Amino acid sequence: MGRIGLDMGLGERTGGRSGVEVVFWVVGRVVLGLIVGCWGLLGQGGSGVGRYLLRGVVVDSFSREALPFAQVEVVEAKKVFQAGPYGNFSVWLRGGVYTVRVRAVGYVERAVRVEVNRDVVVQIGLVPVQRRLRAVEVRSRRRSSEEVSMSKIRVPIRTLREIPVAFGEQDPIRALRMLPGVQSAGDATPGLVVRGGTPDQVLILLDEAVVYNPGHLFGLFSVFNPDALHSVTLFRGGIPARYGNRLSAVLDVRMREGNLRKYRVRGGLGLISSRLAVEGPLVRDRASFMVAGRRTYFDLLFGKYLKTFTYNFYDLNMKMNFRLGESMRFYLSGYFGRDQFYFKEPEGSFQVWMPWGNQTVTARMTRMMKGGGFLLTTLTYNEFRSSMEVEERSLQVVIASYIRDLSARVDYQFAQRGSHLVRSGVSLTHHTFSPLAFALQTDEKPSHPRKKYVLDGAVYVEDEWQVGRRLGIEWGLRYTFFAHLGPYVHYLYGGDGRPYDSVEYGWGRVIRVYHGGEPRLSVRYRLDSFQSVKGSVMYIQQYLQLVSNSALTTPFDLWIPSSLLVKPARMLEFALSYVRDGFRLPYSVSLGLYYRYLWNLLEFKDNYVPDVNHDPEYSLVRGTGESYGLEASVEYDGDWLTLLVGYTLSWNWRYFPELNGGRRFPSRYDRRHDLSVLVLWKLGWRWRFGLTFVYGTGNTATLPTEFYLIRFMLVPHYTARNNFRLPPYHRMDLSVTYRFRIAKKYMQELILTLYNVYNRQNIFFIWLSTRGDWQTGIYQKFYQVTLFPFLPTLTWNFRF
Amino acid sequence: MGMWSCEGFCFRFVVCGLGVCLVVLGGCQKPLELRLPDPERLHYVVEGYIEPGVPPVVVLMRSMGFRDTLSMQTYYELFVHGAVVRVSDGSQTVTLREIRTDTLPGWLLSGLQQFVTLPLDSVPPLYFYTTVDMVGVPGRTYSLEVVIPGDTVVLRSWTRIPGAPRPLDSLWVVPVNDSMVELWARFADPPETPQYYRYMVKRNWEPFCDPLGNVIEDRYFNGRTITFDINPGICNIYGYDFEEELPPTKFFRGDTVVIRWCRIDGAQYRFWLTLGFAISSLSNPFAGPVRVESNIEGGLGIWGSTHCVVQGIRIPE
Repeated sequence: MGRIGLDMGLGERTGGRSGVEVVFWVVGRVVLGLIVGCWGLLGQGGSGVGRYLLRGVVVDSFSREALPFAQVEVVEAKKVFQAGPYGNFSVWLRGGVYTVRVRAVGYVERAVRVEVNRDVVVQIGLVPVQRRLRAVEVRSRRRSSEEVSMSKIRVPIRTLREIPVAFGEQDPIRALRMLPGVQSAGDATPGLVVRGGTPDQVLILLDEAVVYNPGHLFGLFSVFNPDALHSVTLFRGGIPARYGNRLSAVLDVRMREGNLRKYRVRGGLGLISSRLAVEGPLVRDRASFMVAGRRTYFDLLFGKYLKTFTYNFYDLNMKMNFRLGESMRFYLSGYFGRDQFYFKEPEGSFQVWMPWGNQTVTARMTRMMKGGGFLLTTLTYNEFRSSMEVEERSLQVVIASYIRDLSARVDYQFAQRGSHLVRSGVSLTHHTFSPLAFALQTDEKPSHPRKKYVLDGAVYVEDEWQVGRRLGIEWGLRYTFFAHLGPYVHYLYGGDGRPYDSVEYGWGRVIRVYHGGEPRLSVRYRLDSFQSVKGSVMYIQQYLQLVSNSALTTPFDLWIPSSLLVKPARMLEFALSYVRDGFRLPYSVSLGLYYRYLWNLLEFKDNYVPDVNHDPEYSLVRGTGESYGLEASVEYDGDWLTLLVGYTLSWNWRYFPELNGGRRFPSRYDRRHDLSVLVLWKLGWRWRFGLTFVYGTGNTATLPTEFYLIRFMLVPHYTARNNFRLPPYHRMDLSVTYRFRIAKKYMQELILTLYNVYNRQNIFFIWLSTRGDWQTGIYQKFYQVTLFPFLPTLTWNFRF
Repeated sequence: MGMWSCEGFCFRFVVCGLGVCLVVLGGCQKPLELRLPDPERLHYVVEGYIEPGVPPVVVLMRSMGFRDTLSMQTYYELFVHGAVVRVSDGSQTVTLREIRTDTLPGWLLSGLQQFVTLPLDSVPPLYFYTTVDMVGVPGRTYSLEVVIPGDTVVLRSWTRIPGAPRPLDSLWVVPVNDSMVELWARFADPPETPQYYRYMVKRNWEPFCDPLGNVIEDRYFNGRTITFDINPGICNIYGYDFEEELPPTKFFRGDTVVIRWCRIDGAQYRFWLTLGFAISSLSNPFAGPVRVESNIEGGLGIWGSTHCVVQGIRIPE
């Protein structure tokens, strides 16, 4: 496949005296050009003679929590559109009586009659499927052929709960790996690998705040406590313009808002951790709260027996929701998680203490405007911090890293008018990166000599456009800018690898600016009521990249922002798919192709050795990548049976002039075949059975092909990158859930999970050992470590 | 002020990581049969030095395929015999001749070993190329050329002998238990930079050995005084049990320890630094593969210059 020389207008500008002005000039021009222009075209009230505004919110009937992204159909007006992230919708209609039909995944479909002879506000409550009152009600199903977006997947939390997982610890990220085009990089990788990307190319949002490290226990479990979650939406391609700064996918996770009417408690006892969540009204129908906590108790139970090491993690989710009148809401949410690991050499003085964790805080105000628009104002703060304190007798060392973001964004959703549903917004984020700060005494505060300050911003407009019954278009344009700000010292290195000079930039000085447009387009053409063909084109940029030189993902992998030396990664994606929904049966079949070309990817040099005294961006090399493949899925979503089969055939290549002799090599996540099967079967109300099977071609690995002898040490020599493929990964899991009540109120669940039922020894990592002696011969031997053998676990969940 | 070297720390972290893995995951570990591809071609490997007042010494070997086994017989087959090895200082070019160490008298080897970086007194013996027609002079540049018989490959390299290192200020021991001690050193780095250091350790009657992480660069402590611990490393590879033993990190009470404290050239520093990481990364899942930096054009290994002082300490009983 030839290389593509395409530049979508990405600009670069080095800083000068007027650097700050440059940033504001870029923002100002783009904001004025797009937002104001867009508002001028579409935001003129929309009213005309005999036209009225129907505004509404889709909520859960019981908790009164808003339901995001519900599908709203105004039958007589032949309008179908999607509600916003807070269940909001608004549409201009001529006077009359209309049937408004609302569907949301996991809820019973509902139709209401609304008389529109003036501006009307409605609240439409949907009943969860599990609490269905009458057998005749129709369950809402996602009709894939209707949606324009070809790669959006919204997974109900209830479904995620029923998927068998290791140790019975329910984990949304692990469950999402069952979907076609979504892979895991192994048993202990916290993130997702989507369409050949890397885990850092997936934007993970928790209530709009970025989660940089979504894993507990070195990635064995995700940071998301299922009891605290309201919705999980994954965009594995065709990413809407409101999202950006990641190439591969977006995982948008939202916390529960808290029940506005009743106090609810839910929790569980698992093998690894226990959890408890409480929610309820602060003021009935006006304000609510939700608090959910989780903690491991491995250290509490076995701490005194394990003298050499201890480990624990905990996390806390909190959210408050205030209704300020009919049209305004205020949300305040936060996540605080921490892992702690301690190790002491059994007969020595060496000890290490490693804490790491995420913190996020989100404040959000939503307001339904009189003109039908919906205004969302969001402030977020998020931080990921990791440190390592090493002590050996008189020597004490602290290494600490953190990323801290402060972000503000405003989104505006216009009322549905004609065949358009337009959203627009601006965002601005200030990042502080402090990689590998270093101190020699544990009571000394680590100095941060290589702190980097970054300002990035974006303005976007996107439109869901129903051109006719058959053709639907979602287009968007996102314009982003990124500025690397001082203070910063740029070192100039000589041929001996040592700096011979440096350039110092003062506080606030703009060192480098990158900016550019990111067009997105998704098109759906309906062949008939049940079949459609979809296509999408997406160009996107990523200003932060995670670089790792390790076979495993660790909390100490470094996020590298674009800078004077590091250019932003860019990607162009084309995708095409055919979707067919069942006529009577609730099934869906899809077949898709995708192609991605990526620029400015980062890797460490071949001879890179970690050095806390050296800025790692000087040890990076830049290259391109290419991935393409075929995705197929069959989905059956019946009342008692859910079946999902996904298969991906893919290729994933990298080209780095300075690596592998300039020859292309497969990516670490190159996986030729990836198959997943999920079966969920309900037997009455009490019994549920789950089965999953996954198969994936083994990951690639860089292994030595030669050894040589230096001072009687066997030294490895590597001739190629990712030159070997490990054995395939496959596994089958089963789960049985028994539900019962104690009294009417106390709902109980016992979940028996049989993880890896046929005890497949999948590879967690491999390592090489020198064995033998001079008499019989010294040789190298590979060993594999398997993380999860066959694991039966029992989990008890309760809810009241 | 204490000194912290990433190399030493990372080695400890490997041990720490493996320790945890063994505790937590020990039951789930098993040998893995992988059919690695054969290398397209094997490489020639040089380990050669030139030092002040000492003739150049060069060991020339072949690399071995991953599936090859190293035994007493195959060890000798790795040496390349009959090569034309030339060393030039710009005005004089000499051709080195091949010698097997155990053909030299033991007293001569022991005496030479005080001045030569190459482990001449090692067991098993080795073949090396040397000459009596040239000795190293500090400040001079020496080029190396190796012509392999029956092959078109010509190996080339050059190195410049640095000035003498400032000796270690002091050596002292810190008791660990009734029988073991840690050995610590203090060193005042001169203001000139860059300076690269390497040390080798000889314990009692054992040959000099190279502990992993025994190279230091003064970039981050230039002109300051540092302290660091000295590891014995693996000295006697012959008879070493790879399956049972970890590299020792401490000394016994009563040991006599001799340290060669050396200034080395930058290429040699990068070679030993990356070599340490390359070896330790093999058994460390948290480390990536590291390609050892070589200054041998057309081959692998190192042609380096070293300027050493010898110091010692007798650890009290």
